[in-house]
Amino acid sequence: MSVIETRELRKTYGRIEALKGVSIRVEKGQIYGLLGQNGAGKTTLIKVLLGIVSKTDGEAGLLGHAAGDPAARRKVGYLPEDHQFPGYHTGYSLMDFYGALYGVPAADRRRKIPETLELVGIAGRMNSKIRTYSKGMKQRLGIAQALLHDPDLVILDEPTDGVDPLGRREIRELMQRLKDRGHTIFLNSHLLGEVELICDRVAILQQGKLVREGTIADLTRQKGRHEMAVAPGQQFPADAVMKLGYVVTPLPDRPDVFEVSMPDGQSIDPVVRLLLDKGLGLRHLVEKKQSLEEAFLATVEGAEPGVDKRPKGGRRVRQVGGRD
Amino acid sequence: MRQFFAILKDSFREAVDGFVIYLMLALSVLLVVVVASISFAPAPPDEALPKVMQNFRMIFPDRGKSAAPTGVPVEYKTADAEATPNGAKFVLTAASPKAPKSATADAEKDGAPADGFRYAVYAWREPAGEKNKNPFGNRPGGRNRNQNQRTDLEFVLPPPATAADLQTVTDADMAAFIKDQFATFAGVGDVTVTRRPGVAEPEYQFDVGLRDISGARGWPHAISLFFGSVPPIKGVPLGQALQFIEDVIVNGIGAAVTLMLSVVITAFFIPNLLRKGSVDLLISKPIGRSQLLVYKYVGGLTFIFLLSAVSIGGVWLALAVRSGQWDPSFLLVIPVLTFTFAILYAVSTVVAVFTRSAIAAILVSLGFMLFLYILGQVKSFFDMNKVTNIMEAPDWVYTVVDTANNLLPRYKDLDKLTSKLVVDSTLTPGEVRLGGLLTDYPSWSGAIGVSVGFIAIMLALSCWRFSRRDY
Repeated sequence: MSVIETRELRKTYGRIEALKGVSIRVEKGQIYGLLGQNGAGKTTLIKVLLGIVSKTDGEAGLLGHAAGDPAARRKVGYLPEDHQFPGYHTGYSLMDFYGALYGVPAADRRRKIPETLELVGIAGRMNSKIRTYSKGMKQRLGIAQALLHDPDLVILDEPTDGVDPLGRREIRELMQRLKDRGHTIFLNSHLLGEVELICDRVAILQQGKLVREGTIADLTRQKGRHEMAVAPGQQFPADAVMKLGYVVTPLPDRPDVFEVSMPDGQSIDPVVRLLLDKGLGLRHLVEKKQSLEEAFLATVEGAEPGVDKRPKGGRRVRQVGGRD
Repeated sequence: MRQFFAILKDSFREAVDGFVIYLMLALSVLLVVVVASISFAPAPPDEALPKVMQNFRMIFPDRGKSAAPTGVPVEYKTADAEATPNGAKFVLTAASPKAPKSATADAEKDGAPADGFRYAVYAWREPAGEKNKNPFGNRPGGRNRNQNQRTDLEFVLPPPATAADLQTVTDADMAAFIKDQFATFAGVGDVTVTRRPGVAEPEYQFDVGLRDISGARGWPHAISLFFGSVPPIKGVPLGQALQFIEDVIVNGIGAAVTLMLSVVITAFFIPNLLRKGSVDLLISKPIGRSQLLVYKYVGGLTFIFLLSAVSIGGVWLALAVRSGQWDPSFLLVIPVLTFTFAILYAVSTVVAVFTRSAIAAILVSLGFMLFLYILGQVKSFFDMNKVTNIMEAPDWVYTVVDTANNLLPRYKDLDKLTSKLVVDSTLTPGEVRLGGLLTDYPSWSGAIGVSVGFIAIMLALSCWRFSRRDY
């Protein structure tokens, strides 16, 4: 059973299509990243899963239940983007309130609240009013409330927003620990470096459509491009390689290393055989990759930043899908 | 229930977060302290008895069981009044040179002496006579269209009696009559009455002993503020003083102020819940939206319940300790006031869910409160007009007023009913019954039933909107 599964999920706000047939599948124990520009539909997708907004069409399931079913929400921890905690609560009382809504018994709450707040590093301020917390502390409190009831699935919408670099690293480590304990994490973040570091799979939404989905390796791989170098003192046979139909370019910063681009459908093996036949020693062969950020930018380049504009004469520019 | 109590507790935290609640609590405590400083001292018998016996001419027939009174003029005088420990003893003289002619015509014809006191006791002992007719009912154009409205004023005529009938009145009847009059009009239950022999009829003398007068509702008291430091107001029956404090000060002015301030304070609860970033967090919890909204609504009610419990409970306790009147009926004002607020808060909730604006919720709720008050006054006026026909009005006006009153919450009726609770628990049985003649009290079932229906519709509308909306 998948933890999250959507099929042809659609959501429209009036004439605006926020989700245009999104199908994703998140398996247990994964950290799944959701990427996209502002207004791409990421937050809308999360809200549909949690029943905060209703779907227009398609299917959405959460932990074997239909999206929005309170039974499913019992096993989900959620940190929304731009959350607002009531200022009249202390950190402890807020956790106690939410814990009771999740059905956590009072004795467990008394034990787990300090533990969880300790986990996110704000236990020392748990009896202070939330209105005295900094943004980073509120963010940590938000994560803590999402974890209090030991959920199977944790949905985090921009969890490191407002958190300093050290705190971000702690949150990354926390997510990794949660994953190691078998929790599934559904992460929505603009910080692509973080996503690249911890996510198992990533989906990229563009104007309500799922445009790419796969592992980090899948998304960052640059098919048909390799870096090659031979042993020191030997000359790389660039002309011979080009005669085989490959494009060879020395790297600007490392002249002894060459980028070899293959024609469609060919592998790097003929080049390797050529070097061996010439008695050259192969010292460097790496399939070229790009960063997730580069992959993301390449995917969304040229697209409008998550807005729907009226074609002609329209004055309204409306953002969709929350503030993602 | 865990979720219910969690939201209740959350609402409480929200309520006590602002300074207004503390201001209201401080005012409540101040009121309780002022009430606790009131001293009630029973007036001496020679001052009190003439006032107490002013009403003795009013008689409730059928041994006091009749709801409708009649009147027989008898002169009552006291002599040798002296105070005893928490009581009084005196000689009561009842005399009347003549009984009303219309009623004793037969007796006079028979040669019997005109004997007003004996006739008064007879009229008290026997079942009520014919009902008095409404003098307004025969006016040209009189309406009297509503079958539920009284067309006759609830007075009865004394029963006709012959001289032989009057002679059936015994000394025991006379003693029982005097005891009942003290119980009915003074609220004194412990009375001893012995007829003095050797007094020529139609004059009668009795040795009367009263006990427990200090807490008697109809006994005049000297009432002073701040533990006697303010010169007392003398001769006010204890019950009337208590009724003024409980009904006018607490249930009238205090309740109106509390309702208005509570509407303002609680109007923020739902809009705060519906704020972006807050509502997502709550909806994502495993609780149904309707459940969440209804629990939050009930949370708002607990606010006024606690506030009224403190102020009304405190006033009741202070008055009970100071006056010796421990009737707990006044405490029922707490749930009734909470229920009255429930009507206004249901309006506030529906406006808040549709607009997410606390200001809109406050304005509409207070406007609705004013509208219901005016409607109640208009309804009372037209009900009276049906009997008295003071103002000519077309039929459709009556239809509109009656329909609006039937469909909308009975805000004014609840006010009348709480007043009745106070009246019943403070005034003497005689004052209660005589007061009831002048006031039409609505039924509890009607007032609560229609209001509950209204609240249910408002909440259903709120839940429907809240459940369907995307946040």
